[in-house]
Amino acid sequence: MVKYRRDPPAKECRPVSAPDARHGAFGLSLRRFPRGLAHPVVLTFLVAAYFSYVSGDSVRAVYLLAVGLALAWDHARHRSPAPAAAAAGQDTGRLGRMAGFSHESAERRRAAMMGLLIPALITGLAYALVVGSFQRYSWPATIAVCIPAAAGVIIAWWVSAGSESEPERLSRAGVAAWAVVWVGASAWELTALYLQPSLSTDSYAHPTLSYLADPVLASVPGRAVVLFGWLAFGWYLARR
Amino acid sequence: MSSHAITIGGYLLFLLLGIGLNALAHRRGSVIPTMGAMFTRIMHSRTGRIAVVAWWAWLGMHLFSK
Repeated sequence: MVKYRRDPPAKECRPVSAPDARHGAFGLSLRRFPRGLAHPVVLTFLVAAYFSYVSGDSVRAVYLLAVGLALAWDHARHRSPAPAAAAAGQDTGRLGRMAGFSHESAERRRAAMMGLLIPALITGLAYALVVGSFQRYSWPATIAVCIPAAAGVIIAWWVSAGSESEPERLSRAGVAAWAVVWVGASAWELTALYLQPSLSTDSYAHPTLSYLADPVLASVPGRAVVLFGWLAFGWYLARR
Repeated sequence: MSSHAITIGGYLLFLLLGIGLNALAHRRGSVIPTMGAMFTRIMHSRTGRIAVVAWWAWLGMHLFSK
């Protein structure tokens, strides 16, 4: 008797349902997650979290660790086929939202921000004066600073998209020169940190930048100026 | 020269190097990118943009919050 082998069930031909596709994308992202941890940006956050922790700043260590892990996950997730599906016409609402901060929209974004410059300037000044009157490390100061900080990160997270266009080519020598400045300054700060009596004890002989900022931040005008500068820097970054 | 002065001198040196590099970058025909171009390049990718904004947020919290 001849046995006819049956074709495999039609399971493979059946269109993949949305929950199945999501489950598959999740599994793929999970497998790619360890590789995401090796991303240089992620490693920078993990190292910063370690130094923050050994300096006794466990709250911000948790923040840096969470950002690092979330970036690793995000990096793994965005290498999965989901964007291709989106490009094929699925989930266009999400794609539309994600394109909000793409490089292509930079000119439109800058034009929109220019229109908001005067209200933003007035709001920023009022914020700096009010929050600058709060004591450093107090609950009012903590809440007042965490609101714009969290808003910035959440907005960047939800509306950022990797640009489809080729990035501007920068000369290697120029990039190396900037790397020397940034890495050198960071190494100098870390050296000062390690030359303190302990990582959580300030030293006059080997001051860190935070220690040097203390006298400025001890007064209301000093705090107001630094807060305004911090907001202005955030504005500058949003225009990039 | 005290350790305090040397440490501060190091910070000032890197600050002046950064200002000087940015000034050189603004000259016509310079191959050195401006600091703005460096930020734009880093923030070209989603990961880079989020990382820079997260670093900015950390800076504010480091200076002011509990």
